Amino acid sequence: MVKTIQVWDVPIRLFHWGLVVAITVSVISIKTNLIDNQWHLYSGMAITALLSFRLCWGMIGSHTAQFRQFWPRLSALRAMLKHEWQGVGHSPTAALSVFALLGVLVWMIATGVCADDDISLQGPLAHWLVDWVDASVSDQASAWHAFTFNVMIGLVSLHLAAIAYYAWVKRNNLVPAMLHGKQQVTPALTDQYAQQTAHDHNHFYWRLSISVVIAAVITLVLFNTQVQSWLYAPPTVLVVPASTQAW
Amino acid sequence: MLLRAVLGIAFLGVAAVSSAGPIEDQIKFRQGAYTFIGWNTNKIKAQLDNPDSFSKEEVIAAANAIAAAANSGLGALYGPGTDKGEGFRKTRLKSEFFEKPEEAKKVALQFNLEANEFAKVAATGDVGQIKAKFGKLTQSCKSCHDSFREKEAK
Repeated sequence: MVKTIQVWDVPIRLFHWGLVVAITVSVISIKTNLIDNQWHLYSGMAITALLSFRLCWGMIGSHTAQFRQFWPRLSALRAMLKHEWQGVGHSPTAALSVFALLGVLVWMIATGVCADDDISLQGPLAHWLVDWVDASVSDQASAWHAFTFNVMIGLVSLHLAAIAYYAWVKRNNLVPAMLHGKQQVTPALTDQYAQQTAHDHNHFYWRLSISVVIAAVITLVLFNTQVQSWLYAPPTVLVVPASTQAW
Repeated sequence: MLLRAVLGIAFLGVAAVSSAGPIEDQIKFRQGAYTFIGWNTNKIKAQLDNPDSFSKEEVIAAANAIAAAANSGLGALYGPGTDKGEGFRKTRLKSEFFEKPEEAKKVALQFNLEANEFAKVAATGDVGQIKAKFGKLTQSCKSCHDSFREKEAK
């Protein structure tokens, strides 16, 4: 007999699908002319917020979200390869994928905020770097940002390929669980899982609020030039006032 | 001093036949031109991003400046050997520029076309159209960067 349990909580599911949307907007805004490339900045902000939230939630979130719970261990990986691994949440190989994707996205944000396409798109720290450090740092960041895009596409493809493999070969469609959060498991695992998640409801909203606030602060600080341009008029230093335009 | 002058004149004589002077000068003029173009695209972008600051006259001035730079014969600054060397800084022109002359010509002419088109639209003051054509213009910059500009300093 199988039992249905809650495996992914609401914040994790929102994070996952939010990331899907934000990355899609990011790629479309930079690779095509369908939408203004200003959207690359907005989606970058969204990804920064989502990522910083996920990093917090990985430390103080629900059981299946916690990094220390699915931290890749050699013993678990070996068991996985021998088809002996049993558990709820990220499997050992999935865990590798999660850490790789999170790492690459952090790197994309880190280089993206420093990048400058020298045409019409500047990361929020690009001007600061050019003024106070060196323009070559910004150029280097742009090059890394462009290169890491390929790595990211590779990892996302691998992620999708794994989902397809599970659905078609192992007859286990993982997508619905990421939509409604539920998964069917054996009774033995259910008991074990119930113990592990016993504390998931403790201070849930407190932990959620703390994570959201930290994510918001990181995003607003990193993108403060963008935020300022919303709050006040954008810096108009480049624009010559009409009165001095005569010459 | 005399030797230098003679050599200089001889060099200029040779260079003038094919291009706009010594390699460093070509690169320097090039970098100057694109920096100037960049200043003007930045002005336009700042105004499009913040509609309150939009000034028709200023956009026209910037658009005309870009078109003038585009029509100034920038091709003369891409003489053979100018994929290596230093102007204000090291050039980032890829050698592919000389290996694929047809493609290089295509992206170069595309920029001229878009710059002239943009100047026409700027004159109308129609913000929606200006925005659309500005996207086309910056796209022409990007397509050349993607094909012929090193991602980072060589």
